[in-house]
Amino acid sequence: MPLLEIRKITKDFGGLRALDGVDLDVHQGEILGVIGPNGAGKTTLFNVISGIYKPQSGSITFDGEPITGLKPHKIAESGISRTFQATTLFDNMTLKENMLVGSNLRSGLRLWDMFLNTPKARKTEAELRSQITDTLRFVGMNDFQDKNACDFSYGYQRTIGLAVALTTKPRLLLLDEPACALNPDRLLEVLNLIRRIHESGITVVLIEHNMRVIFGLCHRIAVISYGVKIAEGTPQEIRDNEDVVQAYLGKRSAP
Amino acid sequence: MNRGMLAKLIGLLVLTVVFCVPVFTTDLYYVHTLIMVMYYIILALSLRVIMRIGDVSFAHAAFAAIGAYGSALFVMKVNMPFWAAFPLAGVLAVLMAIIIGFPSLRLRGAYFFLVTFAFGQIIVIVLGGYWENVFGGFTGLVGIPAPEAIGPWQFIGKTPYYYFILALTLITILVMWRIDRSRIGLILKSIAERDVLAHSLGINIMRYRMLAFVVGCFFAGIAGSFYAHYVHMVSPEGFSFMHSIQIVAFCVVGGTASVAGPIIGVGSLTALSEIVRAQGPYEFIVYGISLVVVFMFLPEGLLGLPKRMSGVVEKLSSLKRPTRLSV
Amino acid sequence: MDSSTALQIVLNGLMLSSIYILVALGLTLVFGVMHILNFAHGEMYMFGSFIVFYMYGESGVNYFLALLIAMVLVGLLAIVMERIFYRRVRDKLMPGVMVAIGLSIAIQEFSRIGFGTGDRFMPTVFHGSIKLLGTTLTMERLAVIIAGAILLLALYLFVTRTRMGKAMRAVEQDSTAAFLQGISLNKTAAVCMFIGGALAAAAGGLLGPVFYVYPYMGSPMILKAFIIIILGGIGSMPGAVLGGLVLGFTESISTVFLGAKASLLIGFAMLIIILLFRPKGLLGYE
Repeated sequence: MPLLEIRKITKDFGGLRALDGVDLDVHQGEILGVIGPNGAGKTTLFNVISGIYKPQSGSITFDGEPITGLKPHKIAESGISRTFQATTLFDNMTLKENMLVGSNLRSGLRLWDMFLNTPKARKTEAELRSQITDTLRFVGMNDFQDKNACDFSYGYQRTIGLAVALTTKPRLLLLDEPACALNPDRLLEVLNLIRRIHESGITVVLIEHNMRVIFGLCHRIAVISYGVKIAEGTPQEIRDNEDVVQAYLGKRSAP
Repeated sequence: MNRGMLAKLIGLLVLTVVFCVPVFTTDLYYVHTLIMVMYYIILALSLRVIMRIGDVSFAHAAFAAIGAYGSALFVMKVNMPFWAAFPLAGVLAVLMAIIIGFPSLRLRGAYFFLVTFAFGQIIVIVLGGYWENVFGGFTGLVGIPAPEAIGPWQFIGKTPYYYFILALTLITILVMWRIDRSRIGLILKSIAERDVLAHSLGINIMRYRMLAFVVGCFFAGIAGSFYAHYVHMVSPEGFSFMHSIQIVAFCVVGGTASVAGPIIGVGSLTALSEIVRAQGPYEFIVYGISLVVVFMFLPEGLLGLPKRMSGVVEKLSSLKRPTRLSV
Repeated sequence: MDSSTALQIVLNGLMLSSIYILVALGLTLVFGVMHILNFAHGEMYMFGSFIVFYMYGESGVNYFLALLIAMVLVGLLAIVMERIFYRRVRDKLMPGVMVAIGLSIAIQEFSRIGFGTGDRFMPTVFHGSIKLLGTTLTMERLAVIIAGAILLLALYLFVTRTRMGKAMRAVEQDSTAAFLQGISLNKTAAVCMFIGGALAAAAGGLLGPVFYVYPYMGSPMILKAFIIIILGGIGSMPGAVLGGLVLGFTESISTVFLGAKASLLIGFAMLIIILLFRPKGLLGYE
């Protein structure tokens, strides 16, 4: 059974149909790439999955449980986490604080504990802090926990976004253009990071325009154009697919 | 001695002075002013926790009105002792907050401000214009009794009220400070910073916004109840839109970044309006102008002043050095 | 309900609507084009009234001249206000609202000091009345309706036919694109503020002889203007007209059957309902 089943998802914005009956499966343990021309609806699809938008029709099932139309915090609770196209962080809070907010979901702390700073709260906070240090070491950024998120350079901010998404201990990670505007060195680091995330057992779906990233990482690729999925398959199949080439380039051209 | 210890020492000093005022001053005007200052500090602090989630409520005076009228009516019509009516007034404010909050807290920014404003106006209009045999109409309720004595201490004169409100203020400061320092404060801050991200990280933002709103309105209700039994009368005019703006001004002029902000705001604006009042009834001009000045030049409020000053100092000192390429 | 009461309700409704529409149009115009919620707009209305009072009521200047002068003066004042205060907080919603509220309060208080708190009455401009369907319709109130309609028409023509009007609509839709096309944002802002202020002043000058003039009269007016623009949709001019009609007639009807204070209550209730269920307003877009 696929980890994530997307069936006939349709999303309208007023008169504009952004997604038109999209079907997609994501299998446990794979890295799935989602590509397509600009404005095709890829980020909209992510937004529907993560609960930011409610679809007009269709269903999404995660590990057998229906999650269509649930609010974002419920989606996170069920085990799906994501990053955003534009760098989205808590700018005026420190790196440590950014991570602490994310770690809230799995902390098991109740409001009472938080307010009164009970022994349970103090113990949990200490655990969370060491977990945060582990995660930051994993992404290679442990040194600057007290620096404000907005003071990091763009490339590091993208990595922080990834680290924050990991704090909710997701089983499925949605990455929206993780390689966007990164220089070659940072790009390589991010690629390796995604590989290591995948190796730790997390299923990854990523939207990307950078074809080297897509073809270098993904086990399977889905192609979306004008709100419709026009192809799905292995990288080789996609490369040879006429419709895909048409959608991107408008004429036959060797990749 | 580091900054933390210095701050604590100053705080202790201030506390001692404040504690001893009624002992040293016989001038009731000063005692009354300080009581009102503390009343407004509670209101400003309770508004601040609502503002922490990023939105401004313009109904705060109306919630104080709910507490004031509620407590007065409990005591006068139902013969409840004050010490039961007082917390109940807070509960009443909480209930209203939930009723109003449920629909309103989905809205953001200007829409939230307009809805809270509308609700606040409705409350005040109803209190002043309907069920006059209960609410007393335009003139409101008079002859509200003082709180019953606790042991040997009777509520005669201003001194017992002074210590009562002092205790309340300290409790409010403590609660607000604790919220700030705790994970709850962190989450509220994250919702104000970037609610979409917080939501996607599993934070139930509706629940936290409701929490902040309810806590804020509870303390407003409590403060209102105190006011009613201190001044012994309440009228709709005492809780008008102007008063809601006044409370917003207190919060904003001081700065919302920390618990000290509203305290500084109340202190400085009250001092300023006292000076102005010597010339005539012009206090509200102070509030109006302070809002304009703060939002045009100093959006972080007075709390942001040290940072601004050091920025200005830095700029001035760098003017002396010739410009060089930064490495 | 007999026909004479019905006619009175309709007439009052139209008159109130005219005033409300004039004020609301200025507010929605300024917000739509410049994203400023000009809370001090109510004070523009108040100044219009006072200027006409002092010129026509106290000094015997021709009423129409006084009205025109009031419109021009207040329009210029609005431009100055934007230049000094609002420009710094342009496009920042909350600071903009706060500065506007602060200005509104400060102006009200200064006016109270300067003008004194008493109510001022103006002599009637249009004497006489018509008897229709068993009820008396004063010419004064009819004049308000007619003047309102004329100003509305003038605004419509301006916005749709003139270059500046089109520039304003361009800035409203996409200020960056308009800027890149060579439209001066500052000039457009000035024109918007002028029109808004002039319309509000006109409303004040027109209503002055019907009711009375006092320094705080801007307050209830701005509240109603907000209700109207939310009802009709912030930024939508047809919405302001629709909202103004709705509020004007609601007030007219409820005054007869429920008493004056109920109308404000109903107004706020409508505001809340719209904000909760259709925040874009009846006609609005965002």
